[in-house]
Amino acid sequence: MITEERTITINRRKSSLIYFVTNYNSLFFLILLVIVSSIISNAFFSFTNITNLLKTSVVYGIMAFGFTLCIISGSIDLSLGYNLAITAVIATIFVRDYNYIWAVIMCLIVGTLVGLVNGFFIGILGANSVIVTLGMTSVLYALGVQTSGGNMILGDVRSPFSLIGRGKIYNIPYQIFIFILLFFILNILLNKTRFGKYIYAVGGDEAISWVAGIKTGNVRLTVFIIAGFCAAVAGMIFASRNESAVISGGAYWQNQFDAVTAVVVGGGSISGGRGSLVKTLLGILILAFLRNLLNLIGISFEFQQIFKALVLIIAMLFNNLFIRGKLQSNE
Amino acid sequence: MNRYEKFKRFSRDNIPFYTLILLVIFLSSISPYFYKPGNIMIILQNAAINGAVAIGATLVIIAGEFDLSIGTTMTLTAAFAVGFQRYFSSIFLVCFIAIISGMMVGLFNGLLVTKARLNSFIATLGTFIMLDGIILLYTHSESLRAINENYALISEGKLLNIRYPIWVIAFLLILTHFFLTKSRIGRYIFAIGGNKSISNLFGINTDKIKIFTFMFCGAFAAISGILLSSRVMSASPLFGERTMLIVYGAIFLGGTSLRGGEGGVIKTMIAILVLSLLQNAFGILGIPLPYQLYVWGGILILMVTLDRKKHQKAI
Repeated sequence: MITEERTITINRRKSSLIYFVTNYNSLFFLILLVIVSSIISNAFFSFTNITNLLKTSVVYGIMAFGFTLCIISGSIDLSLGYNLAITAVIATIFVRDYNYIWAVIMCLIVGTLVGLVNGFFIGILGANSVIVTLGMTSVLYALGVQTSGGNMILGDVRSPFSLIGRGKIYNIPYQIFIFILLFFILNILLNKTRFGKYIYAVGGDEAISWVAGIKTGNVRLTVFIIAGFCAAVAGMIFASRNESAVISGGAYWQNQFDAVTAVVVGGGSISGGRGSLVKTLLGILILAFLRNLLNLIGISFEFQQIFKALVLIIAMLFNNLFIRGKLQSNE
Repeated sequence: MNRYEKFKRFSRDNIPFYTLILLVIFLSSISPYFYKPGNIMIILQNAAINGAVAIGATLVIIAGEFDLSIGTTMTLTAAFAVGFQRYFSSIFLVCFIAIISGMMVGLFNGLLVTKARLNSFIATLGTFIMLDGIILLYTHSESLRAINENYALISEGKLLNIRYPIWVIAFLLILTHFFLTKSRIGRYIFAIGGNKSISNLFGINTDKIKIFTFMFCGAFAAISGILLSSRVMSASPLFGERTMLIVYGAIFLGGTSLRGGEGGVIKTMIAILVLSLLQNAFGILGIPLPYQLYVWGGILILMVTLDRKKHQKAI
């Protein structure tokens, strides 16, 4: 594992072109997808199609940002989907009973708290991230059933809260601005701050970064808090777009799957220490275009899910191939 | 090792057993219904259904890998077992198809993990998503009804007044236990989980054995799917929703470690019995679903944290 990381850093210094080609191979796939889509359909390049396409990918895209940080630090968060659900339910309840400011504040607080609890067990107590977050899905589902009574909660259509999902400036929805803003903030955090380097270090080799004086537990904790926050923002947009929320239903697992797939397709590796938000953005776009393409061809929802899973597995194989190939060429 | 340490280790390793005894005492004191043979039979049958998956998943964990797709494998095989009754009248054939399809899922997982060298968590998550899609495709999000009346015999037939599933799982449990502790392959599974690279050096074909454990797990998930669907005479796409929570909760409660190379199926089964008793207690006391889910989630999180703590001390 360590040698792998080293070869990559060496490669990075050696040649920026080779580095670019091997690292951003998803970009070529994206371009290919755009070309194919534009050949198949004339409507593809219209302004409405592109904004709609971005709009549908905002929710899982924001979750994918949080998931990227998790995966770089070497952990997995499976509770993002239900975190989205619980924050959506809480936001809708507060819109109905109080006002939109409370709704925004409360749903962000709850989402972040969920991240904090995850982070406490994973970062501070050192438990396995997959299992803890798997247990968390059950707890969150139960919490959602208790707060909503298991019924669909209807929000207030006249409330300014619905502007988050429906408002537009210059025909561009607000949610896309939120998406881009979050992307830039997290990108600066990851690339320009010391904390960002720590995340990479912890994912690359936890023992060595601990020896080097990084408080690895705190880094993990913070990563999960950020992931929880991202899920809360996604939940807020989700609630505001639908103006209602219901705890049961597959929509949450779907978003979780899409977030994971976007990150992996973008080139993030589960073994940690690799990946970036730019790559994840590419992955999100690829998934969005792919979805659009499948819809244009007229493939059913079930087949789309099977197809997406295959894409996820193939992308993982592809990532592995590239890393191993590079290792061999260096030796 | 002095006597105190021995005692400490003994008491630590047998937590599920004590919990079992305490729960039995507690339950029999609060409810007169508990000791009714019908109730005991229900508990054991529940334990058999969850236990089948748990036996398979324990092997995968001992080999140092993880399978997130057990719930969906169970759902899919149940759907196949029920759905294929439209085409075949023989129950054995239907069950055979279900078990073979479970093994195919296991083979797929195993190949991804060994030959493609993917992380087992994320590879089986991929399988999870794919199987979910296949289930939706096959069932159209509806429950399938079992056509063949004889299918109910699998769970309702009795031998010496005890239902078949309990016999089947007890038999498979003992078989798996001896296979795991006495046979060469069983030893290899422990060795691989303990240290993969050293096992490789000793000439153990780690890939083959890992694939075997995944296929074993798939087959047992299928058995569990058959038992569950024959009890309710239908297959719902929501069957496996909480399987993972209970099964992994039980495995870690039983003391099988996520690190691999440690644990056993008997321990897992005792823990499954504990959780089945708990489930029964929830039913008797009328505890609403959210609280039950808190307990399942809580047990899983707590046990995996304790598992980690145990190993930190050992190092």
